[in-house]
Amino acid sequence: MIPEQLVDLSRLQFAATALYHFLFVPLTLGMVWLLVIMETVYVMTGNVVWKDMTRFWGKLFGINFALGVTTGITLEFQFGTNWAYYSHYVGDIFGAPLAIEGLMAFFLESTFIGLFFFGWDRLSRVQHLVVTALMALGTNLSALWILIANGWMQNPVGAEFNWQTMRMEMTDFWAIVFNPDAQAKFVHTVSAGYVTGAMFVLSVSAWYLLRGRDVEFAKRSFRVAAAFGLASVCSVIVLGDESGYTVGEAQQTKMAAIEAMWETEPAPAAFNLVAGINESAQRNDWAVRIPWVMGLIGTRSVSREIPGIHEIQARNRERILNGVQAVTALETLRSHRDDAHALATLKQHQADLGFGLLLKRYTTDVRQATPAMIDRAVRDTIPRVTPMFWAFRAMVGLGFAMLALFALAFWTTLKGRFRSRPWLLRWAIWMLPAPWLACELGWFVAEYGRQPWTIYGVLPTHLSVSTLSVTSLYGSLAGFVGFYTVLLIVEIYLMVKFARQGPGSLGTGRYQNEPVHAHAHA
Amino acid sequence: MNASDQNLLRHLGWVLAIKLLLLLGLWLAFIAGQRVPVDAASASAHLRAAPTVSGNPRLQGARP
Repeated sequence: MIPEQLVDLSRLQFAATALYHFLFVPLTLGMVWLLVIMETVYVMTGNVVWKDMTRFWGKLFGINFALGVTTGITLEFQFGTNWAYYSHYVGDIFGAPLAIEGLMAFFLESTFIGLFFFGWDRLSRVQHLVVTALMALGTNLSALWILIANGWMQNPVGAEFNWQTMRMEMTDFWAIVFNPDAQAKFVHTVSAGYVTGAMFVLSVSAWYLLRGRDVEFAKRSFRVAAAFGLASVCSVIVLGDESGYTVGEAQQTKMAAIEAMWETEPAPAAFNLVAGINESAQRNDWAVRIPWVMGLIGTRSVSREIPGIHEIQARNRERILNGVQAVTALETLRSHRDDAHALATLKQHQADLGFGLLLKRYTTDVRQATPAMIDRAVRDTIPRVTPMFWAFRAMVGLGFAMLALFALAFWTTLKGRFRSRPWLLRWAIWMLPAPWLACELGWFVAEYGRQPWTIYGVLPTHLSVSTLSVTSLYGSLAGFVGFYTVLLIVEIYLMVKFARQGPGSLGTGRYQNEPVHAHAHA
Repeated sequence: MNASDQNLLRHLGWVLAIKLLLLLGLWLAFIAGQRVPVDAASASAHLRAAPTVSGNPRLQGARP
């Protein structure tokens, strides 16, 4: 028997550690490209202020990298402890991109970060720029392989189930690499990281400008951040639309939950801007709707329908009934390996094996499932609508608020007026947490929306967990949360301390707040 | 490298060292002894015998 509490705690632990981990990641992803831009201008112009910008923002980037590195390792710990059955079932596919990430991208990233910080006096300008660019490439390659693994969890292509080994086995590596879900997720996620980096530089620069500190340095930083941020936030929105389209294709349950779309509507479906969701009655009590928009986003056509939750549930009921036959055949084969009829039945219904396994939450013998159990399994196939609906809208709302800020910041930098707009600078400071919030909400929508599966349509979450004790999970949860909280506090302390010092901390003699006894560097 | 850089390096050195120690502590306390070995037979047995919901009835049937 698997206690429900064990499943919930395992999920909570993974969610907590993943969300903490992703507080560090997007800033690394974004700031590294800002460093490449700043250093490129330095190499092209020879203007030393651009070198100072690269070194100063690189220092803050280094703090974030040092605090963030290895924070993802606890997630991998959990695969072996809390999610042992998941790891066995899909490790053949899931393990490959994680291993490639560790061997290739992580080492590339770490090596060049060392050269970036200690190579200023040892490498030529161009050599150092190449190092910075390779560091950026390594950082983004890290994200690529992780998101290929995650994309496969959302849309498991290029693999098939082997009943003899009881695991999914890879049949097409390139299908996994070029999985449309993974690619859409990668570009959307890294773009969100670029927005985070840009917002960080914009906010800190706005703070200097409001205080009249190191104005020339801060003006240049503000301009670069505004331009890069505007391009990035436009990418996030466009690529988010692409991500929404791939979700609509591969994960109709997630799409329907995000839109609180209970019934299938004539194409093109309207978009529920806001709605009063009544989960128990499975309907919306009221809604503000925009005609056509949902159909265009979800299908990119005016004639294709998007299935509503009730239609999806009806389909899933059929799949669960088919899945019962697959599960029964699998259990027969496991005890009678030569049973040709069971093998034929399994092959016939293998696509629905995961749906049959959903009933395992309620009964040991799926053949004995009662109509009530089947009803509950059907309900399980749709994630809770209310949190999905509002989390998605909060994420999109933050995205458009950032678009407005970056667009205005860029426009005023073109006109050279941003210093005379203190409200804009204050707005930039207050928006600092926005990209982090949006990133966390995005991950919530992606992962909570995949429930009740760890591997969509293949492996239910409740069968993925290990049979650990609830007490040990409480202990490890407290340990992990404590660990990450300490790191977060130290990160904020160091960031505030060195950001307050400003470029004067470089000790070049060109800025305010120069440290006493500083050695000229540049 | 100026005094500020050295100060930062000292901070980061301590942070990395303490982080590795904490990770090692977490590993020893919660991970090293908890690894669950799984093979085809145990995975099959898990699927066969694992089922049923227990505890927290609030979560049952509350979903749409």
